[in-house]
Amino acid sequence: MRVSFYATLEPIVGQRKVELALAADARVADLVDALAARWPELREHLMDEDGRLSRRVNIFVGGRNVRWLQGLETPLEPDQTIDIFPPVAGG
Amino acid sequence: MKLREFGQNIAHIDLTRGSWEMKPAPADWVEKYIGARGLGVRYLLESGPGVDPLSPENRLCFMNGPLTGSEASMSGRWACVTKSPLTQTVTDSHQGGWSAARARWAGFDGLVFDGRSETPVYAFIEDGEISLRDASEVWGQGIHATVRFFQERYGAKYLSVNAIGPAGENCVRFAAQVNEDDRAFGRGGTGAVAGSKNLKAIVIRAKQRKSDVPDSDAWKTVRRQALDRIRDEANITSPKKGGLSVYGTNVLMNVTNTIGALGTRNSQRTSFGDKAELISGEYVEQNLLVGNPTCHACPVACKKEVEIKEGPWAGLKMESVEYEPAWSLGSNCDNANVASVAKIIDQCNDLGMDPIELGNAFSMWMEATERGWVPEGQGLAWGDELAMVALTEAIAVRKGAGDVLAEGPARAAEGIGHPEISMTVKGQAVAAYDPRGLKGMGLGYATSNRGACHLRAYVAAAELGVVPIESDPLAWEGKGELVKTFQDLHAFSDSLDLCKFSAFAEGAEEYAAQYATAMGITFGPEEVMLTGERIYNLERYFNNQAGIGEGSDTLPARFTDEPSTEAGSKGHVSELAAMLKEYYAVREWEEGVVPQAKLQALGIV
Repeated sequence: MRVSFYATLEPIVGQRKVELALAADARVADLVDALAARWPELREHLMDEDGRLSRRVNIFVGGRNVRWLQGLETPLEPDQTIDIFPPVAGG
Repeated sequence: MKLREFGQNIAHIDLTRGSWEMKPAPADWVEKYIGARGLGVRYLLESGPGVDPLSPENRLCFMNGPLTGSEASMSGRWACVTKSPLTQTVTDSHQGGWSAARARWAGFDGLVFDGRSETPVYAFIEDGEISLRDASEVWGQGIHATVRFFQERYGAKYLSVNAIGPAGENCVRFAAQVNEDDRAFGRGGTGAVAGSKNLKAIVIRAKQRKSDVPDSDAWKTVRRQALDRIRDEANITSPKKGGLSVYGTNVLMNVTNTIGALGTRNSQRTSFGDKAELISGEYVEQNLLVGNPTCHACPVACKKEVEIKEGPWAGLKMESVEYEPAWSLGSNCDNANVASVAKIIDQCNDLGMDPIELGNAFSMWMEATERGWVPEGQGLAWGDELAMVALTEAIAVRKGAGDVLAEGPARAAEGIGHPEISMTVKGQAVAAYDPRGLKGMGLGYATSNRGACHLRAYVAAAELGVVPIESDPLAWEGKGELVKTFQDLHAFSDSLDLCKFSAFAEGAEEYAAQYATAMGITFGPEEVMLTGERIYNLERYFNNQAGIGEGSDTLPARFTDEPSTEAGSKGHVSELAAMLKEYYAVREWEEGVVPQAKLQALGIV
């Protein structure tokens, strides 16, 4: 699974794209756990104090923000593209 | 500088007679419309909605807000309000940098220009006085040379120069006005109105003045509360930590590309694929960034000064590769070279043009060329950056195909018999948010009072999960009320006049507290929203009086009829009709027209 990190999250990971191997029945929650284990500094960006998806991150699966899918329960497929952003706007 | 006396010092400059006088704004106008955008529209209504925008009868207002130039964060802005030659609607455009603050420090709350000078002039402003002086030495010059000329004449320290370039002089319908920091009154063709009046520049010399407020302790407290919100690391405004502060506005490029909301090749597609990265804020930050300049009283520093290091434009040092022109001149034109994007933005800053409109004119012309609708020898191929640079110059001086495109993409497309390939609303081009991937933005384009605009209702903040009011970008339900809320809130902040980006950290409560404390009055968040609604309805009333009413709130059929083909928004169109029905219901409008009862209820008539 290819995961891309953008803007202020990219320097934390140290690269734009990483490859992750997750179980076939993985959900976004599993992805978040795997990322936080590999880059502990990411955890505070990904999860809030109550263990919910933080407002400081937007995770897109196939171009859709998981907030509008099933949140942490959103199922993942091995060949899916995951894009992870901090909140961004401007214009 | 007594903030509570805002509105007392409005200069009325008669360019025909070469005279001026100071007159206070009517007290009820300040009470109802606050300043900047709102007050400017009220002055414009007085000159008549039926005027020809390029005639001497059109009014050109430069309006500060009650917080402009004060110590309030992000208060370095003023509004230019006029009837637009591009849209025939009311338009307001806002400029950052230091010009607005210096105008306030020089003793002026607003400048209202009427008439037309027989010869080119500039207005020199200092210590509460205005003089109209001969501008023949700089007429025909670019803005950068014009700024240098005045800096040499008057000294650069404490000086601000807001000028038009050749595009304004030649009444290009999307001509802009730009100041010494390359901050622009960008949209709506205010530069053409200045050009039609032979007004080359406004030159202001003033030192900073401290604010005088009724309760200085309370003033410090409310400003601190707002600043704390801006600095909060959870907000994108957080200095050197938030995405907007680190990467500038172009931090958006990769996310809109990801969700299928990045118009590409004249919005025939909704994503630029892997090429978006090459024109993104991250790419610029890693490869070209050389400075982070700020506007007056701004801790965010969203401008990202860049230097081009190689290729035909090596050595070019310019203001900032903003998201909007990176889109309009980049993916929209199938151009993935950020160096040429920077070059053309810099040309726009020098010639005085709106790069959003320019990029849309190019993309329309590129599609027309591909379809064989452009006269022989006048075509423009997708991504032909050298031709784009040359055509930018030609538009400013109205030469060849440049004369056609100087009319703006809507008129130019109409001229070749294919208005359907112009991505415009009410004659003004759309911005960098495809309405199929960000549906609220589409409704915002359609119902904007100044033609398609992303800033009248920046609901992308909700649709992209930046502010606590979250909204699914692909859902159309509820967008009517959401757009109205943002339009009303922004109408108020544009009248204070605080930077639009303050809304990423502040809301009605912070705006109310700062306004109430500055003016020494009682004013709450409900009044913020009511006042914003009044201003929005005033603008709509102006447009209705100008003959722009039922049926004018539209989108190009490309967005409503041609489904997105890209991931994120694939298969989606804009459900504009359904959203409009919701919107008119919450606005209490009749098909885009403000009824008399609504005008009376809001105290407009």
